[in-house]
Amino acid sequence: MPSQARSKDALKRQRSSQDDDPPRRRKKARASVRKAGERILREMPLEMIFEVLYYLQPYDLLRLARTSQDFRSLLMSRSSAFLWRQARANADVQTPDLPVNMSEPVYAHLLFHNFCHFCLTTRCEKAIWEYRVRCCRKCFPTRFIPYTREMLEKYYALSQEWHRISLVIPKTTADYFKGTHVYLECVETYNAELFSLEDDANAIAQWFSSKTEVYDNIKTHASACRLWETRWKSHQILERQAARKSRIEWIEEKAIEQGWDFEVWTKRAAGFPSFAIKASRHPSINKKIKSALNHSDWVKIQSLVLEPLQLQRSMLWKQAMDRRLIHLQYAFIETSLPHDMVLPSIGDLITSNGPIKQLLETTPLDRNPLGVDTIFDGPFSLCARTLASPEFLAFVTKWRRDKEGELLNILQEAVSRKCSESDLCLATTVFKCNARGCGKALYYPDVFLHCCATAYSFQPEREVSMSDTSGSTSELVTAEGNTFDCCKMLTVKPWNDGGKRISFYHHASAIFASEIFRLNLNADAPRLDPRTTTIQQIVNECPTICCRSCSWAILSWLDLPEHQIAGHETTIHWATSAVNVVNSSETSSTSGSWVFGSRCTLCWGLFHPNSVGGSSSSSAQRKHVKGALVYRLEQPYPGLIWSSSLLPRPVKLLSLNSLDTDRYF
Amino acid sequence: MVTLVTSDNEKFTADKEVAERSVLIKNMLEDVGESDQPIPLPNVSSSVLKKVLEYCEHHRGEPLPAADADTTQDDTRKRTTDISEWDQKFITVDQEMLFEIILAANYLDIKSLLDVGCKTVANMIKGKTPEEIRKLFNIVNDFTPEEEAQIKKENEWAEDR
Repeated sequence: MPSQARSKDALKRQRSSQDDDPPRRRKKARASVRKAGERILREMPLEMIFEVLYYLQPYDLLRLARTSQDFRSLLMSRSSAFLWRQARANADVQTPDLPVNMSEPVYAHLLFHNFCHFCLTTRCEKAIWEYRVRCCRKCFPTRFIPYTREMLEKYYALSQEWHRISLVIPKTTADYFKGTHVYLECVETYNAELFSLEDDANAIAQWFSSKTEVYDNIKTHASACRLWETRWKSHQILERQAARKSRIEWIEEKAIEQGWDFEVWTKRAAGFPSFAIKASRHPSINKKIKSALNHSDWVKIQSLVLEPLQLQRSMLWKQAMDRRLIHLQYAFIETSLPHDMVLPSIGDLITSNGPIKQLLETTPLDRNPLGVDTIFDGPFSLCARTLASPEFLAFVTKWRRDKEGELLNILQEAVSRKCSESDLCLATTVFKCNARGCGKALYYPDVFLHCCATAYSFQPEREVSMSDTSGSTSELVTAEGNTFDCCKMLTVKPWNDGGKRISFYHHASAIFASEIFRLNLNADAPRLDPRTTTIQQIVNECPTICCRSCSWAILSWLDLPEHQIAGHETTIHWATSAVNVVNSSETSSTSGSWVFGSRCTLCWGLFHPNSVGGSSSSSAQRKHVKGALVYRLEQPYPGLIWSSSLLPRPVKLLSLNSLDTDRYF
Repeated sequence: MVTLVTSDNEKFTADKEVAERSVLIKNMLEDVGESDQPIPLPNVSSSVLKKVLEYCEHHRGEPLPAADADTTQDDTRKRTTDISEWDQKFITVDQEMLFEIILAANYLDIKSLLDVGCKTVANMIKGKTPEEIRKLFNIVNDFTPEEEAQIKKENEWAEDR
């Protein structure tokens, strides 16, 4: 088409497209795109088509020649040999020179068409360069015969030159068939040629001479081809790897564009972006390079990419919440609330509707693993301010009141009478831990600090039936559209979760009642009223007790029920009086002398005579108090995992000089 | 400044240095000498000329290929299809526009632009199967099934068959 007419057409098309209504215009636009492809190769001047073909490689020309009659007649014409020469020059791996007896397309077909040349259907990566063919395992036995003396005698016996033929006939080996083989067609041709020469010695000598030359050329070319094949295969491997890498990059870039940045980065940091690798092998894009990928490709693989990224996002949110909870635990331990105050466990803080749960749910969560959580940012962070707020104090007070109410209910149900809060402190008010294997006698207010009451895994004793509350709605925290089971993450539970972890200890209560009666029998001892005597009174004012069964010289009154239930023989040590019961804080800090039965106020352990008093014992004592403190500090918060990489240990709490041990009572 | 008139009678003004990246315009300017007369470009539409001028503007000042650098049929040095990043972005257009740009580059004799266009089309063909090439350029498969099976075997020059 003349160029002027073409541009007129374009103008006409442009004008008409402006007049059309939108749907019609779209249809026309689509038709125009379809037509454009056709125009590029059909309407381009021939010299410009050549300009395009100059950049192609032999296998591209081969394929192009198989698209239509026009291209076939153009490319398979001897006058187009320059295009094939140029194509070979463009090849990524320089090809060996064209053999003299081969045409360019045949040579390109041999080098780049990896199919059996006989059946044309089976893929055949390995070429038989000596015969310049590719032959599959199936066709090989019909086209090649084993190279043996019998074969030579069979074909060349008549010419009587069978012994010389072995020097000129090309031989090959195939991976899938043992031994040397020769091409049947070649054997027959050579045989016919030799036979036609009859007994003409000169002609035969000439024939052998020419065949030797041919064979030498073949051998040289075959070794060059083998070298080329190795390089070409390596190049293809590298090309495929590069293409795959670029596809993966493209997939990652697209995912980042759509807001999956942290997911992609963290996957990449893990060193194995499996989501992108899997997607990059999707049949629709498997062979494409980065520049060839477009939006429609993305639509096809989107689900494959986003599914693992969604999982990764959930994991990042979970990790972010995990970090937040660990920091919260740390901040909670360091809170400036009075240390003698019984605080709720971390399980109660994160499950009860209060300032902490609100803080967890309303403050934006950052899923960036390297980001700083806004709750803990700065010395006067949101978390620190919340923990020091009157609202938090009110929450703690309310929690304490609620839990005391819970204990009172347990007590009232057990004793079948109305009880007041003061009844909780009575010596006969003993609670029991229902955890299998524990069964410890618990007293108010230490019952709030018992670890089994807040443990995540709780196995009740056989006679106690518990309802499973794990993952209940009240325990879930919702942030950034995700629901987190924070109790599971910290492996904690709110105090007395399920309501049956703590029960009234009838047996222990009866033991204390009988002990008070026993104490009242002694005229020297103070009169005690079982209805009003508190456990603190017994510990402070009554003579010490000892267990004869286990040779325990001084037994804590608190441990009395366990010893008696175990069948031990306990006796009251009338010789000791309230005055002799040593207050350990005095012993360790002021008196400096050991008295029989001196105990540590923190762990209630007996001090060795050498550990109290004297300058030499101070380090042992200091060490003991440190250990006991950390123990007490960690006890109320089961599930707290100190990670040196995440947080520093609260060193200031370990400094003996800064301690006021009394405050821990 | 040079004024160029497109096939749809739209006038474009461009720096002489930019316009002269086209050998055709350069020769015309040399022929007419110093003149304010607009140069008609009847084979180039306004949308295409706009793109062409964008290309020339970006490549202004770059050395023009020598006149004797034209390749002959005997010159078989390796040709790669590498395209610079800017050119690649520039040539990312629909096939209709790509076709028009190639024709315009040929008409205006802007070799570097023609090369970019041809390389782009070559890249579109590269590595594709015959069926994919047909689909891309809307080529009708005019082989019968028998012919299609046969052409895989026939690789000799047509004259030798």
